[in-house]
Amino acid sequence: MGVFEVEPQKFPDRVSFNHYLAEHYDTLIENDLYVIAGLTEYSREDFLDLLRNDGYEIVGNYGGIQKIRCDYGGERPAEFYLSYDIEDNVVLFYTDMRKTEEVENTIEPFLENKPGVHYLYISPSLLQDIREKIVSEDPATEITEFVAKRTERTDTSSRFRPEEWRTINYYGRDGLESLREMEEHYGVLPRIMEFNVPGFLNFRINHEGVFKLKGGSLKQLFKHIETCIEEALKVKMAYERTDFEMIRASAQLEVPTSEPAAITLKNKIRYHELDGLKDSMQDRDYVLVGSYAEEGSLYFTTEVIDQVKNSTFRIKANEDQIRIFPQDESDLGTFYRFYEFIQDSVDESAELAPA
Amino acid sequence: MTVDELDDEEICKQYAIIIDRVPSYEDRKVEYEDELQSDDEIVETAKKEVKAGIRNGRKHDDLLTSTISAFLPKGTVQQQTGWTFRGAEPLSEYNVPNADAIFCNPDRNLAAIVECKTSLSSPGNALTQIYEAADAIREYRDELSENIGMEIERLETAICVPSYLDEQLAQRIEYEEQNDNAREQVYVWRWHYLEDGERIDLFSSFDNRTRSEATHDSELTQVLNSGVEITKERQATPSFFPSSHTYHIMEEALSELLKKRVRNEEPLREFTETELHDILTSQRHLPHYNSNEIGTRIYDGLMNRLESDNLITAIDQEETELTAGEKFYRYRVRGRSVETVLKNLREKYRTQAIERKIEIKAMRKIIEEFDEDQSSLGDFG
Repeated sequence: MGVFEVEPQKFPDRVSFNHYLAEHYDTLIENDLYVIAGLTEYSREDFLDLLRNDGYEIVGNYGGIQKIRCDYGGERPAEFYLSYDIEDNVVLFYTDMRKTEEVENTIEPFLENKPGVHYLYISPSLLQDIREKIVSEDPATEITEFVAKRTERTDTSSRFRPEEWRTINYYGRDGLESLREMEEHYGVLPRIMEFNVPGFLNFRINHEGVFKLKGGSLKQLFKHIETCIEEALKVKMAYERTDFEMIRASAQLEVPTSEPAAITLKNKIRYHELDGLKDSMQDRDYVLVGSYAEEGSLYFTTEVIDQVKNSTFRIKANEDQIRIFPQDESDLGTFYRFYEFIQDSVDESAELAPA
Repeated sequence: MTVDELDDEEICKQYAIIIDRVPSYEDRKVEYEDELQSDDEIVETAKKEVKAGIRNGRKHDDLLTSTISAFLPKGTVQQQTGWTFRGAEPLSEYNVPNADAIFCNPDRNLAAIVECKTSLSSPGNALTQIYEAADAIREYRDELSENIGMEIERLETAICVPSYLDEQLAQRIEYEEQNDNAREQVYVWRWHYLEDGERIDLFSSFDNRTRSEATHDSELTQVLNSGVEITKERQATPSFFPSSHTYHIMEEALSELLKKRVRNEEPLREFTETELHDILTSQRHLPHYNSNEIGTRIYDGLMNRLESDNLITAIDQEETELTAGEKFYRYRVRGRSVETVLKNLREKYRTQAIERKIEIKAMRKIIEEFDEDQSSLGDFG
């Protein structure tokens, strides 16, 4: 059995498809619904080609929505509905198949590893904001499960043993209180949270843009998804201001140049922390080439190879800011991945500097 | 000139001449090398020298990149004044002394050559370098004009230093000017790296120069007096320059090759001469107007070093799936990922460089010994 069946009709965009799903959720979908969000820099056609080249076929057309299938070698092919938003290049994959099987073996690695695409990264601070908003709207809200992490070498404050990194996987009806306490005492930040707003909404959200509706208002879940998309688009806008260009200096000379984006840090980087930063980067599959650093007013520059996206960029950092210079073909996924790395491993309060 | 004053290249030449005349010194050199290798202090010093050489090379290239960034084509300075970057190490193709970069105002046929110095252990040498580079520009004016696409009617000279070196350089300039040894009016550019970012400006507080003498006789004065902000602007991102440290060129070029391998799902540990040559001659990496000729020279030097240091080995075409090229090579280090291959190449390069340092020290001893032997023979005469 494949993904849930949609009545044959045309949906111009994700808004109309979401509206349709929200209206017919109870009759259409028997299992938990997963919505996997991502971004791409490809045009719609190029994105569909990318999917085709990765073993997906388009098995249904619903106007702006496509039904896609991937035979990844499991007991049944994975199937999704895909919405591609022409204006903001946001892609959503909808399925009621299994997360640990059909989703984790197809779309998740596709979004994580392919150049030019990336999952919709949801920062720990946005996860916290969403949590507080839901709780303020309905104080009876429970968090019944969460995963929270303290990464190695993070600057996040921690009352107990700040030098230790840790992951807390928690199940219990008092998850909301426990998570807040653990954030304060153990300096952890949320990665996954499962909410139960009694009688209204039961859903799960993770930092890689995967939303799971277990029950309740799909309309409300879409609202939260839109909030996350809005935040992610700010990162995309910063990325779009960057570029790499060979600029002509004379008839016989072109010069490689790059327009950077800047990430502003609230927790300053110190010279003595650079070795730790380099180690963290290596742990996350970055290779550093030609690093150079100076003490005083910190000056750090290096070329970085992203082994996951197989791309290159250069960074220049001082204590308060890291500037990212794309090299050759710039890549949206590379940019997101690095931004996530900085928030994860350097400063969870890091923000993109305004243009 | 004493042995201590000879550079490494001259030492090798002198040593080769001695060996040619008295081959028995070769065994003596091996003895010296063994002796030096067993001295921890000497090995440690060699390690430090290698490390410092690589670091200083990087620092220099970084300063040069920032200086170029201040004068990018279509950048703020060009829009305001017409001045822009026209090439790194002009005239390096003629093997004549050259500055690090040339900046020009093609509307007014003005040019400025700039030498970047990250340290001033011998400020006099820095000045001699820029004087000689200016002489070469005048001598090869026609050839250079053709390459940079404009006539040069007036040439200015500057040395760009990190801001903490400004006075030290200025004092040396004043000293040369007071003693009538100054062959050029050299301006001092300062690179500032502060909390709020990078900036290049002009040092003008000379004791012996009037205000107008201390500043450029062109629109550069105005922009450099107020300082050119670099941080938030578009920046140059070259990979290396004609005389960058070989370690630096190796790292940049081979990482580029390794990345390409992963992207194309080709054998990671092999490459062709065509691919490496293409990288080294591309203006994407080398901002020289004659990147083909200079890049080919860099290619020859790098390949020579990689082969002599046993970092790569030539392989037959049948041994590889690669096809584009006539000559095929494989890295002679372990590793199955970009990270480990690069790490092992770097380590092996450094180890070989340390051994080379020690070998040069042994050669110096041979030259000294040879000189002593010759003079004692003379005594008998």
